[in-house]
Amino acid sequence: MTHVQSNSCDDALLIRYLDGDLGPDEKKGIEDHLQRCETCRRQLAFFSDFSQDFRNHVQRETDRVDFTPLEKEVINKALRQRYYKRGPSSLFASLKFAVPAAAVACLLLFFSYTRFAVDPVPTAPSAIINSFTGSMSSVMIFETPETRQTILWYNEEPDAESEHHAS
Amino acid sequence: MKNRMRKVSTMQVRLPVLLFLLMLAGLWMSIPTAVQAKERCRISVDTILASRQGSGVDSRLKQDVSELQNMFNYTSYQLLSSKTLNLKKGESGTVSLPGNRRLKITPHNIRENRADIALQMMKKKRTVFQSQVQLLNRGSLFVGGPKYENGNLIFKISGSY
Repeated sequence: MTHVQSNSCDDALLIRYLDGDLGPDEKKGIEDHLQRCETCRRQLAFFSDFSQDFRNHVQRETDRVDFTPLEKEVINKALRQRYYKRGPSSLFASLKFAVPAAAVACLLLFFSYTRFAVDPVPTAPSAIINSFTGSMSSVMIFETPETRQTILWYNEEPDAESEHHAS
Repeated sequence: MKNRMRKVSTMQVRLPVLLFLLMLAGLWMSIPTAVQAKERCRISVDTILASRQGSGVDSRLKQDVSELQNMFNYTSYQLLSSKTLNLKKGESGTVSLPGNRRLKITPHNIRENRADIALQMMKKKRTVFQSQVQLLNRGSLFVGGPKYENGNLIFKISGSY
């Protein structure tokens, strides 16, 4: 415990006085000093106002904060800790839907690939022509070398062509 | 907190239902295509005008025409029209084509990866040709030759089922 000299000005002591941190002797000493010292009274008033402004500002900022997400995060953490405390059985229990879901997803991927994937090199012609009859001067059937697209090329009879030109 | 509990219980109910539906879809996908009955097929007919006047390939045809360009000496390929038919087995559909032509399409049988399709090309009231083809699933048959304007018509007949 320190004794306050009645004629000394000490800002640190004033702050401790304001915070209520002084012992009875120190408190009495500073109060005696304050009665005599105009400078320290003004300094004390300044510190008091500053402290009040600071508290008000902090309060305003705190009021603006939404604590709901924080609350959710805390709840999630608590639930996760609960799972871990229960041991591996709870972990397997939580996976009971994940494993079949993964299996089904793999199945879907595999069969959709085999079902819908286009064969890059076709092994059969795109169309097989079983029969072809008609009135035309010539017909050719062939296929493209790479993708084996079937092409049927025909020339209409001259009278049909002239009929078209006439129309 | 109550809301959260309600959400959890809703999730617990929905997840098994979702998994069940996924498993059903997986089973459907796993059935070989040959076993599944196919009653409908989708047939599209694209009409292309190939000519030696002008140059350029219609941007919609670039994929189809790249190989045809190596086989024919046409300089221009233009897509004149596109028509899609959704036909049941035995049902006929007709597509109007340039030059008073009509193409009648009838799918007779759809099995494995091919469909038996009857084609009948008509010009005015006269039948130009009749043909029976087996069209590969997602495959195309190019039927070409008729003169039109300053070039020749090519009909791209594609099927998917």
